Amino acid sequence: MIARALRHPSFLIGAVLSLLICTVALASLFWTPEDPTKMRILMRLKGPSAEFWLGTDQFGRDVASILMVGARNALLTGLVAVAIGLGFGLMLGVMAAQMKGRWIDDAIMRALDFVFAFPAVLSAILILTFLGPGLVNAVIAIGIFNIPVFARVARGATLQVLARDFIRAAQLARVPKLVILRRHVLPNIAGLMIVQASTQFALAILAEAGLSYLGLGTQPPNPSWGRMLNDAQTFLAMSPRLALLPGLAIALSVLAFNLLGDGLRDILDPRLEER
Amino acid sequence: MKPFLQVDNLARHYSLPARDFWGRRERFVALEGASFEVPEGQILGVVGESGSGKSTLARLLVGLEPPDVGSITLGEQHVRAGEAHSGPLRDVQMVFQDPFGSLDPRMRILDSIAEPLDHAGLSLSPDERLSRVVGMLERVGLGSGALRRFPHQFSGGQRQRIAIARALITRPRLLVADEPVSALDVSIAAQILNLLLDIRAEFGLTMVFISHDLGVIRYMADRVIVMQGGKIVEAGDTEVLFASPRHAYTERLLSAMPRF
Repeated sequence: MIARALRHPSFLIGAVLSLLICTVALASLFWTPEDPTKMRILMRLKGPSAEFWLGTDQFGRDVASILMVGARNALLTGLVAVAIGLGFGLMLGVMAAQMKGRWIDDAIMRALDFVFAFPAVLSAILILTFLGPGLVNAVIAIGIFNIPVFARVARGATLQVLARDFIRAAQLARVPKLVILRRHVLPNIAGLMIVQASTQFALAILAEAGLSYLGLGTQPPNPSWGRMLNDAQTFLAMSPRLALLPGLAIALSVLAFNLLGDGLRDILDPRLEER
Repeated sequence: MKPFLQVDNLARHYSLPARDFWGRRERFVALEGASFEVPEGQILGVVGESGSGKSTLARLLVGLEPPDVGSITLGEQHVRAGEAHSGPLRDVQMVFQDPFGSLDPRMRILDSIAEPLDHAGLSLSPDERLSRVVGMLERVGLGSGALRRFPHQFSGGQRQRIAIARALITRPRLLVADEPVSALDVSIAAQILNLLLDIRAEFGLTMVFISHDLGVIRYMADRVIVMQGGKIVEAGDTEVLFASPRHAYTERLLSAMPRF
């Protein structure tokens, strides 16, 4: 499997890029070139230099440092939103599959369809008007809209596994239901869930950037790629660099995790393994 | 002599999905009025085309599904329609048709074969567990090199041997084999059939052997029941039934059988 991973170009590119972003985010915990919140009125809107690698913004803050800390926010958003979606979605999806044909399956899936029917960002805005803006609430809102996605994938995959004869064999061996789920179902659907997780991770980063752009996500002075974009709008003609850089960061991380997901899909495909 | 397995008037219906929200759910009769008995140590062949109720019968016999009507008596155990379904029966195991679907692709052979042991309430030591699995693997013609491997590293015939080892590890008294060789090449199939016959002799196993292949049934079975549309249309000793079929359907089946 490792050999196949190393020969897979989009997995490799995705893995290297995601690793790079993770490293930058981790590094920002200990070190940034400058204090990302420190303003220098005399140094406003300066271009890249030896002192400020990627220049400064309208308050004279170091753009490179803000971007680094922003990566931390983006990754944390993805991680928590995916954890919420995966945790609840997996549980509900597997439960629905297990109860297929009974009312509880229909109840779970129709309730999730209801959530799914609203555009994610729109409903996040709705939730945030109740909970109030802020990174934590934004992450929760994004996480909630990941639940139906994971639940659907989990339900479909679980149904496929449950239909196979090794489940009958386990039942004949008197393996308890929960043990069948843990030992047979989960390992066989894990690949699909991991692939879905990396796709949702990318979407969560995008959603957080979108919400922060609208002023509903990360609040100042905490750095966020989405808010950097919003701030840069005013100075678009004067210094397009300020919009380009966070835009590039967002695009690159979304691309990285999508490529990673695509690669994982191919690598973890059990059909390839059977041969 | 009292038969080891006795089946009385067994029936199973499935309700089909309703055509629309207000539509009535129609019932599909998968098995109806099935009665037969099998003496200990004998092989009962069940033959019929697809959809004749063979596999439904298999699932009822092993206790994966409860019957809607009728009863099953297996040694000291009784299963009656209407009583609470207690799950799979003791002393019964099953070999499935598709050796690619009957082994968990993510589980090592050792754990797949040991699974029935692990849940039989024996509390074996790891060494004891391992030696039992190795013994059974050798009995079905595979070496202990298979233990740490995964199913995809084996051929169809080898997988079916592994599935047989798993079925026999708890020393069941009844083995239900649902088309165990129909997914295999002819030469491999013959090896598996001989393995099953050897094991029957060695373990004194009673067997219900399901197949659509009359040649295979004739080779394996002491007695045969012929099924069509969920009903048993004819039953008899294998040689008698093959020599002088009484039911028109059996005759049709026999005349369609290729001769070598």
